[in-house]
Amino acid sequence: MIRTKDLKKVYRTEEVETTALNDVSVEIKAGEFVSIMGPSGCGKSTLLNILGLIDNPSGGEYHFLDKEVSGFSERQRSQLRKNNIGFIFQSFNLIDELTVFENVELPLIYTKVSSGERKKRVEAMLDKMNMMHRRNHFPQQLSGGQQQRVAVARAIVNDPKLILADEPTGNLDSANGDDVMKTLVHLNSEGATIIMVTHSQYCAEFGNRIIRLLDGQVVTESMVAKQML
Amino acid sequence: MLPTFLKAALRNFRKYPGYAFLNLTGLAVGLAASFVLLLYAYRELTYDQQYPGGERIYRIATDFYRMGGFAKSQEQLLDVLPQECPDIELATRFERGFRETPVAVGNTIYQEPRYFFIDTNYFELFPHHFLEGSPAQAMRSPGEVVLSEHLARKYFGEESALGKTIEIGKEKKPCTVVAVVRERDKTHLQAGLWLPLELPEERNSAWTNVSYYNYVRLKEQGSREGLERSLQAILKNHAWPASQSESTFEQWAAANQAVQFFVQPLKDIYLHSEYKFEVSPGGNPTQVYALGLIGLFIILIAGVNYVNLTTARTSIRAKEVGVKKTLGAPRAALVRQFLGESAVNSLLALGLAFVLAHALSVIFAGAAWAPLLKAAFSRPLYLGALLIFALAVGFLSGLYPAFYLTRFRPVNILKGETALGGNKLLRGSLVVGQFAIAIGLITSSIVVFQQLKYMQNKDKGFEMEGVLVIENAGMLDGQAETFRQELAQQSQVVRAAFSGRLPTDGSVWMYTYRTPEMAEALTIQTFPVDAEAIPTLGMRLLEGRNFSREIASDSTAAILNEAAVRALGLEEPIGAEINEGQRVIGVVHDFNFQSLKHKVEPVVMTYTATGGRLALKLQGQDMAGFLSTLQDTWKRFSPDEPLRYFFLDDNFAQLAASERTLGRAIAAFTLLALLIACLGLFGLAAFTAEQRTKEIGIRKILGASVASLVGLLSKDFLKLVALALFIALPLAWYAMQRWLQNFAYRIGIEWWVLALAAGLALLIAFLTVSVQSVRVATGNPVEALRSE
Repeated sequence: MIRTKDLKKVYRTEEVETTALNDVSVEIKAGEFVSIMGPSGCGKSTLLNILGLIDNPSGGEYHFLDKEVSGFSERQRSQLRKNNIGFIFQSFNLIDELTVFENVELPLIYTKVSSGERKKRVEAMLDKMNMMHRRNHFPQQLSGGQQQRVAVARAIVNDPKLILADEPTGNLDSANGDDVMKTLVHLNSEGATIIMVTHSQYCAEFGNRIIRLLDGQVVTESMVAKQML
Repeated sequence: MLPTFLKAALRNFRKYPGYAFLNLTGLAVGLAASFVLLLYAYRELTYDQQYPGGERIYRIATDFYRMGGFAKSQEQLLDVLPQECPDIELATRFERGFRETPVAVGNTIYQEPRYFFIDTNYFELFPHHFLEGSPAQAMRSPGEVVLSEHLARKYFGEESALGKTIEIGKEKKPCTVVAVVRERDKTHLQAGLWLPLELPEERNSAWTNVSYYNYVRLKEQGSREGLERSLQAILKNHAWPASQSESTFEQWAAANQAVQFFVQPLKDIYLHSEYKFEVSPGGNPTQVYALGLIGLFIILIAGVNYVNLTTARTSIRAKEVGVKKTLGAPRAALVRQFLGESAVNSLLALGLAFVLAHALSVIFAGAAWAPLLKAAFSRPLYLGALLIFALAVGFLSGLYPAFYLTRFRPVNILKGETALGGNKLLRGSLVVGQFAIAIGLITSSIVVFQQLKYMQNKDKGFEMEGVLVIENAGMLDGQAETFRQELAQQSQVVRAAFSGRLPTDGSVWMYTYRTPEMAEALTIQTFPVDAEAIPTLGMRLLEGRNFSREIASDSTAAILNEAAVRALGLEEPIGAEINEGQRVIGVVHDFNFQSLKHKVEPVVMTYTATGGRLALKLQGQDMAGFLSTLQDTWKRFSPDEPLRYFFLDDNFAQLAASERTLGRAIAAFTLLALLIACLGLFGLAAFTAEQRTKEIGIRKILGASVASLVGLLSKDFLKLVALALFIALPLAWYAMQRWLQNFAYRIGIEWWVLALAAGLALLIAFLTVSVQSVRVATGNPVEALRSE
């Protein structure tokens, strides 16, 4: 599903040039649950953004669904992104001005799903996440765990082939964090490919492979022995 | 050591140069434009207010035969009025020079257009500052002249003018300069030379004459009603007996030929007098009110920008307020700080306005408004007013932000719980207000220009293109016909016609006419013309025939326009008899001989073989060559008198001059107002876009297109503009309908004018906001989320 070769990302400001990614080559197959680990500033989020087609690499190759996409325009990336990828963020990134229902509905609007169909799918998803009773609330009225459940609902409402999660448990207490991890494992078992960035070894081990980054480079890759949930 | 608030203000500029630029430019342009407009309006509205006891000074205007009223009144009025009226303290009469006169100083001859013939009371009623000589010595005997400072400098440079002799008029009458006075600004009494008025020995006994401008000043205990009563008494005791009317006074006073008096307060004359033979061209009240209002509007828009841009930045300043409050700053001190900042801002804007104004008055040195702009930014008095104006604007527009920003409780601010970006409802309403004004101005500009175009293109019932009028052909007397024949041989001259009067020339000829059936005569405009005039001016005969030289009886014949046919109630105009023995031989299509503000009045054209004016219909090439031939020919016939001529279409254009000025001014200031409003909108859009950066980033990641994001960001602003449309369009429509009522010939306001104004406003607002929306919408969503 995903194959990168010598992926580079360099940030330039007026004074300094920072290399965030240095010749990263990874391969991720459909159905995998991959955790990316590493200390702050090692390039985890950068890699995730590039894999998620919201940022362009400065060099190297990136094959997504057997297409070379590193040179894609914003419009082409956007097209691929909205049809295939769902995002979960540490800070949830819900839109404060929209209700729970409207937040979850957004990806369906951008993929031009009819409004009747949208209503059905959003309601089904909120039901599944146990958030139906909060459908007309605004994000600030929810707890952190509830907010992340809405964010997860939004990420998967479109049935994406790939789910990207950037520290999904970082702002949650351990009980809520476990909930989110269980949801991810469940989604993975239903066939979704998941790539998750995390600080926590505990969370990383929910996946079946861990990629460790240091200073923009892959240092180790290891398989995780499957745990019983 | 600068006060802290000043330092903070300056550092703010350095930190947010874009914001400072928008804020300052808008305010500077707004200050300069509105100050000039308000100054203009103020000056026009305060004409003739500098004379002592001015509120007790009145002019007596008159009318008879319902001719429409004259600014001048009877020669003999002041012989009887002061005795008749105990309310009068002082009275003066004077006469204005009819056209420019040559003034010989040594060997140099100047042409002076503005000179008065005054009596000995003039300088007492209208005091001037005497630079040389004294009021007591001036105007005691013929052969004296008082000069304005300006003319004294022009004639004699730095030398004293007192006692010098200048020669005035064609007859070169020697006059001794007895005084030099400073000209008065802002007065309808504009003159450069004052000569003694020589009253005739024998006064006119009929009261149907106008000779002098008659002004009176009432005693402090006197009243306008008292003056009006005395004038009524004069009608009864003098004018009615002199008319030798057989009817009673009441009947006479109600009839058309009755004499009437009108009392005009001095301060109303400049803007509001519409009588004939005015001393000097008056102001245009519509223009004054319109431009004054636009001046207010512009400063409102600029002030609103300040309020909006400042409150939108609450998020930036809130933390500072929170920290200061935590450290114990009282609210009053913080309010003072923000007001101080606002004042500093205003003063910086004033500085920028100063530079701008001087640059403009240099670049457009020739423009009519340049002197006013220069005066506004250089005269000490105005500079003082400008400073106060700028500070007041700074204070008023700083008031709301100051109280708004210092209202929060520090704990909430520091916890980040403040509703960021200030009061959205208020800001929305302010934007609606700004755009309502801008839309109103756009609509007005379009309507004014449409009306102007209509006036230009309307069928006036005669052709004025290529008609040259020699104004003083009457000078030629017996040689006039020979002169005409000689000119007619020029290839450029198609036709040449004599007449006593031409459309647009400003002269007034009226006469009373009646049919045998009519009980009372009507006063009707008269045009004495020769047989060539109708074809030369391209007037269209609807019935009957033109005058003919060959038919002797035509000397008493008349040609009417349609309005006259209606006014006289003629069913069969051709062959009808008017004024016992005058036969109507033709009817011409109505023609506009005055500005299009006036309806075409009834006109009777009578036959004359010659007349004061010679109209030449020209065509073909080499006009310059023709004009020089014309000059040469004229010199042969009349070596002493210079040729005076004008083109008829220029003269007609002159009649609409004040409307054109108004149109241009409204258009220019509409652009300015729109520009300032857009500056504010631009800044506001920038802040909104910034506030919504996170949301935009999320939407982008979820697959929103750039177009949908631009739409999202612009929608809210366009809603405000749409609301402004609903407010502004009906008001503008109503105001312009009122303005159009000034014109007898006017356009209707069509729906598409309103649609065009609406479309323009929406488009401009959309483009302004789009610049910001596109910037944010095309930005990298990663950056957007990182800024969290």
